[in-house]
Amino acid sequence: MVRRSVAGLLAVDFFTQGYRISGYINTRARTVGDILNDKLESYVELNEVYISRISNPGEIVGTYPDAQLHKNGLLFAVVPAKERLSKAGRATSYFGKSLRRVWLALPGIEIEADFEVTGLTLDWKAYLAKAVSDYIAFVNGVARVISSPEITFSGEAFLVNREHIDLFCMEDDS
Amino acid sequence: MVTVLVVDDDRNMIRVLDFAFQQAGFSVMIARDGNEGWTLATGRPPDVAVLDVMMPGVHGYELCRRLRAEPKTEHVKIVFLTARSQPIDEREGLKAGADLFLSKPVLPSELIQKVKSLLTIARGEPAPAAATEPEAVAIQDAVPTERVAVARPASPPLHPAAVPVSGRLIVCLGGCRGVGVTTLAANLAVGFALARQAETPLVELHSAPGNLLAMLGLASGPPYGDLKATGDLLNWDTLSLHLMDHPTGVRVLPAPPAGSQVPATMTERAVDILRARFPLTLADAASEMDERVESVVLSSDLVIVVTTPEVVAVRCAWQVIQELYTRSYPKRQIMLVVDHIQPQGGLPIEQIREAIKHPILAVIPHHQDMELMVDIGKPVILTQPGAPMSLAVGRVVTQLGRALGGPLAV
Repeated sequence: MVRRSVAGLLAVDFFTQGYRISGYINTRARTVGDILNDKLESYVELNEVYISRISNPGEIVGTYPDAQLHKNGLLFAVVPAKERLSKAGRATSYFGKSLRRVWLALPGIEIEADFEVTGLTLDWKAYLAKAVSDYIAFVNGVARVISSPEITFSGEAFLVNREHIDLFCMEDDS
Repeated sequence: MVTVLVVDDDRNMIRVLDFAFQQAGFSVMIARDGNEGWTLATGRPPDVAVLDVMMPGVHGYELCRRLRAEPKTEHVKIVFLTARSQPIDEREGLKAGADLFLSKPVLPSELIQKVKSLLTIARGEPAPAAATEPEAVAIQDAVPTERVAVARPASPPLHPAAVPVSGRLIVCLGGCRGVGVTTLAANLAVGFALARQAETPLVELHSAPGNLLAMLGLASGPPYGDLKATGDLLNWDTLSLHLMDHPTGVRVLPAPPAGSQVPATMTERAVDILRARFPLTLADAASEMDERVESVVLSSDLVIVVTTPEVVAVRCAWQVIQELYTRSYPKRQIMLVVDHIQPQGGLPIEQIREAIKHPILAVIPHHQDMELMVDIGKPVILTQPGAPMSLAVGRVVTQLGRALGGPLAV
């Protein structure tokens, strides 16, 4: 769920292990990816939040004008494609980009999506262990609630908290 | 006058919808949160309510439930227009009692069209008369929304259930005979199929077979109207057997034989089946606007009105466009094309534009092989892709794709 209102607030869906939190985030000319990967801030400030339990993510159980979302507990966020990138620059490669299909296991959630590989090869272990950014961007994703597989979430891009990825599987690139 | 209640806390959204609905002839009430929406709805029940979900105070789902529970407002048609657009949200919205669930962003004209369809089906009455459609202002990026099934009146046994329609439909229509509608439709279909590298259905919406199959070098097959006689259900499995396949990917559904009296609902269902299956469908309606064609035209996303520069044709095109306005068809979805089927002569373009008072999308230059298409069995866009006519058709394909947006943009 994404929209940008006149005031520069962006509506985003955030997912923790127990909850779906729909709220407005003031990006202040940064991207959501920048905000989530900002190591100087542990919390994300949200306005007009609508809270749903992950077991019944359509029903709104609480609404509040303001909230602080702790990044540690955040599993992933659904954002527009352009919000996944950093404002500071775009990684480029002479060899271009390719998409690799991945499957992720997070607490209570499984995600199937595409990962953009820049360059010819990628050392996955090094990337997962040593990447600077806390949140990894995926595109064309579908997330499924494990306890209720009929409940799915989709979007242009997912920003997934690397710390909560229990299993990372990747399809062959051949 | 039909009354619509718009409930949204986004000031921009309210401004756009207020203007668009008023221009379309609705009386508009505005509420900026759920509580205000409840007060207005119970004080003066509207015919339709367009609700956001994420609003301070009472959110949209709760407001919807309350409206349904209140005798004064239980009849109100309710449309959710929200950025909370996961599949579970649509289920929740419909469970709360909404009649329609739309995801933002959406073109106002599209929203209004859906609201009118909802009201028309509910009442069994003609849609309210529309004022001149304003230039559509897209809210955010004009990405078309998902389509939601709008059930037509049941007509068993051929139409056991409404078909969820998701694909786009472009109809080519002429004001009178001989303006080149079929030629243009055939070339456009080939152009789209080649540009998108995707199968593109082309429906011959005539009362009897015309030259479409011949222009594409296709033989006719068993008409789908035979399904009426056999009593078979018209669905994709049965309909697909009647499509004639062109090597470019165009799949033609020919008109039924003359005098076969295929019911209008059968044609409508055939078109719906194709729209459910393919992202884009084209139709050649020639110069006919009978009940069958009218129904399909009014459900389309774009209508290409074709005229030649001759006075009679221009007058006929004007009448067709006025007819569409009367039927509340959005002005922005009407595309006027001037087709030079004669090598020279005819009214200047400026004069045509002034006479019809509608923007001209494209001018198709004359091509000497145009009349031979039937004999050759190949459209000019294939035989001479570099010819001015072919290039003009190609530009039309690009412009139409852009107008439809999303994956159809070429």
